[in-house]
Amino acid sequence: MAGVGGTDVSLEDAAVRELAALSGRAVPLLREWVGECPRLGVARALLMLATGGGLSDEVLREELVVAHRDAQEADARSASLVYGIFLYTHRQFRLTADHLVTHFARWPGDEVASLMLDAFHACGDVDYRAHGDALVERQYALAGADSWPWTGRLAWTRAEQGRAEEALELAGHTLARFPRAGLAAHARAHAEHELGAGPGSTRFLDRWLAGDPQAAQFKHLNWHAALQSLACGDFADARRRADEVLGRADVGMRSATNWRLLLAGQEPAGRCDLDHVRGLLTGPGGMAEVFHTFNLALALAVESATGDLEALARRAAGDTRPDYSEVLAPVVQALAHVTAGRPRAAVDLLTRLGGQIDRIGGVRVEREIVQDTLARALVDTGEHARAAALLHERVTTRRHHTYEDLLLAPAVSPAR
Amino acid sequence: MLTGEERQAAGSSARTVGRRMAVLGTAVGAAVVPAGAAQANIVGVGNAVFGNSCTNHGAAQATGTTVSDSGTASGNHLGLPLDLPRNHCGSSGIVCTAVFMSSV
Repeated sequence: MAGVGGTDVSLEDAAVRELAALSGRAVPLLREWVGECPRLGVARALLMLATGGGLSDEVLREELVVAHRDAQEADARSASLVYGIFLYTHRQFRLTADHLVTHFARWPGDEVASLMLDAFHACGDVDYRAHGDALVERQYALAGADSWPWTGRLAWTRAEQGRAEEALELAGHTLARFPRAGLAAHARAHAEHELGAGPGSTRFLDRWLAGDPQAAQFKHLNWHAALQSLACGDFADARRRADEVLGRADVGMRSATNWRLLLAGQEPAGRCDLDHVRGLLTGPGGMAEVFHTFNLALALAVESATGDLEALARRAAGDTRPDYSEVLAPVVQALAHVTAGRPRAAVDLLTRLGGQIDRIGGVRVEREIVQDTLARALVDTGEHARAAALLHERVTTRRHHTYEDLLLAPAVSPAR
Repeated sequence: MLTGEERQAAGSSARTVGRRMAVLGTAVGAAVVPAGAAQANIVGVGNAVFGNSCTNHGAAQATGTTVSDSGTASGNHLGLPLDLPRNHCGSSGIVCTAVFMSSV
């Protein structure tokens, strides 16, 4: 991968570097690269990796067939990369993960292939997650600390493992090597969430995003900044980010912000259109992935749509997928209880779930909202000591924890 | 189309294979997966289709395999598994991932 700075860097290296950095320049550079080298299969496939989500099945497939044909004529690594990209863009995450195991065995430390490593977590299988984490550790050891894509990847992995200090150090090392490393910036946001960095984190994110307003993570990192604003009690800033940065399609992030504001007894930002949420739930993606469905449930909770939540809980309970019937269904029912003013019933459901909540998907930062909901419900039933015990680690390890303090404050009125 | 029970069975099978893969993968060396181990990693294509978190649409048949007999990465000699469906994903917008998810 190209070195720091961007000068004397080939178009190929620049395109791959910007893609790995999750930069706003990635797609234009990839298009330029494909334009200059139309028979280069890896270039075409990487463009599909970056843009395939907006293409029809037919167009995506046609482009990848061409890319694979050209890659086979080039070399074995290219063919393997395109094959992996085909699987990844078809959201066949388990197959992608299996393929990556063999790819890295033959091409250790391949930074381009590292772009698909999310497949291990996207499988929704704890064994695959663990295997993916171990794979990252091995590839990092092979590539060395000078490889910013691998240090950034390991920073992300450590953050998700709850090893915030290590994640922060690795992210810092990565950003020192390559300041525009987007994954490292994201990993730092995760680590700083765990540490309650507050304004220090929002300043970093705003400064980093100012350098690339087209960055792929622009909205998402603003959402992280909104969470930091919640942590230090700057609710106006959290609302501003939700209203000014997040759009109609960002139902999950807007709802996750608003539900937190409501749990803490604060005014929410602009709401979602309830009919829009209902349409998403009945559409093709509504029940496709458990964490997304949970996000839509949060949107219903923000709107106090108790009846919709109860219907969704029944639907989830009847789903053949265990994560839906065993985890999502009780969580959604608990949200329904909270919105209906029945915190005791919510406490019972969420307490029984315990560690199973990890099966609802997403990442630590995102899942934390279930713990928040339980804490609020406990306080509302008069069980302050249990709520305090639940949030003890957060309150004692996070420098800024105004949000947690408000969750534990009996005076705060219950959400809706 | 498969029934719900068949999907469950296939998903269970895939999880079993996945656990085996994880154990094997941990046991092999850092740089090179021995051919035997790599062959053992072969996941029945199609099982995995039911094991991931997204919903399928269309038939779930695969013509490809992820690992060749020699244990080398696939895609070098084989065609793409064009019968694999593209799975639906959720519709709540951007979620936390470590990858470029632009739809530009």
